[in-house]
Amino acid sequence: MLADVSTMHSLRAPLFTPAELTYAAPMVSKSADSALMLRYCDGDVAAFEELYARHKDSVYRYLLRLAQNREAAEDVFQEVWGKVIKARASYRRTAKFTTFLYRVAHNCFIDYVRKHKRHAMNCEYSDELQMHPGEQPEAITERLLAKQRLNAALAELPEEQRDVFLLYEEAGLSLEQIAAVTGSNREASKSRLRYATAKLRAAIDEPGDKQ
Amino acid sequence: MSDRRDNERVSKAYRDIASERPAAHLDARILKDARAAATPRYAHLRTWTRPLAWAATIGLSLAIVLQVTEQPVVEAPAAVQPASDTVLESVEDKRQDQDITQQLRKEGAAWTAKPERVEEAFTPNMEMLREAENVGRMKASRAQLGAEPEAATALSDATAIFCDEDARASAESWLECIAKLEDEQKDEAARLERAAFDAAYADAETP
Repeated sequence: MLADVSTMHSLRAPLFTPAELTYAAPMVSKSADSALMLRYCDGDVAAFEELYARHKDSVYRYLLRLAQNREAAEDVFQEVWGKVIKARASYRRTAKFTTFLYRVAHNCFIDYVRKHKRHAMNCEYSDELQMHPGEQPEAITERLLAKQRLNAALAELPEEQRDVFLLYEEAGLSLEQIAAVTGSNREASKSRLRYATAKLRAAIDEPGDKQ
Repeated sequence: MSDRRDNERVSKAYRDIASERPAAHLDARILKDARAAATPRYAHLRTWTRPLAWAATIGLSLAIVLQVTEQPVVEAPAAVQPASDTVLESVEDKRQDQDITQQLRKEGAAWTAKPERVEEAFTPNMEMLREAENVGRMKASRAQLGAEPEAATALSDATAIFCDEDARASAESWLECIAKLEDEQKDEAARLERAAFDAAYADAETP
């Protein structure tokens, strides 16, 4: 079931509260990212190390879920950071660093797909779960199954929808920024995100999670 | 409201599964590349090349200044034989010019005969040009010495006439004079006299 207009408006708000956002770069650090990049442009390697530590996990997961192939994701990941390193000579603070970084990642992935035509989708995602203290084995199993269902649902999403969902979740980008990264407009991005979220929600609820 | 709660559930579920991290070797490689890019390629050279360049410049300047200021003034002896010098010089120059012209003609023939051997044809030409340049330089220096007779004395020893006017009056007496110089082991004088003789009697066969 697709969301109505009011739901579409609700999508403009973040899907999560900022306090819970531990896996993507916090919003408060966005301006500092550009400053770090500019410091790196001046030869400060420590600034790059900090920048890399902030974004490496989310960029890697974005590419891993987009490519659904670990080898391809690693290749593109290296290429993305290589381009960021090369961009130090010409980097200007014209957009948020995150937007710049994910635009590079998005374009690198598109190039990779074009170059390799068909990349095998045989990714085996990690089955590791973040353990909660005092969690029962049944609950762990349940979460593991939910993870597998979500991974499968993500894999089944059309590439554009998956791209938008991952940019939203991993990079924490706004719809305008997603549109800038993917080269589409805001409405198209919003629509794709809405469809992707609806499908994933359905996948999570599938085995009777909903009472 | 429930949609938003559902969306948050999707978000939370995604966060639960999103635990992958790049491999350590990728981190190491990227950070290494970043460090390499931030370090200028020839930075280590710049630390010592500039002082070295300054030191070399200063040292060279000092050497030139010392050379110029401490150069001794040479006083040449006054004895000069300008008239006989000019005769010998003109004879010698004429002979060298003739040699150069002949060689250039030969080279020109080589060019037309074997145009494909450009290098071989060109190399002697360069030698001839160099020789012509030397002749020009000699002429210029001699012209200068003619204007400054005192300075010309240094050269006069080398180009003095060894056979006098009487000896040069006829070809036989001149050749006798040359032979005498050769007997006396005055090879350089004999060579100069022979050159002058050859120029004066270009058509005659020399023994």
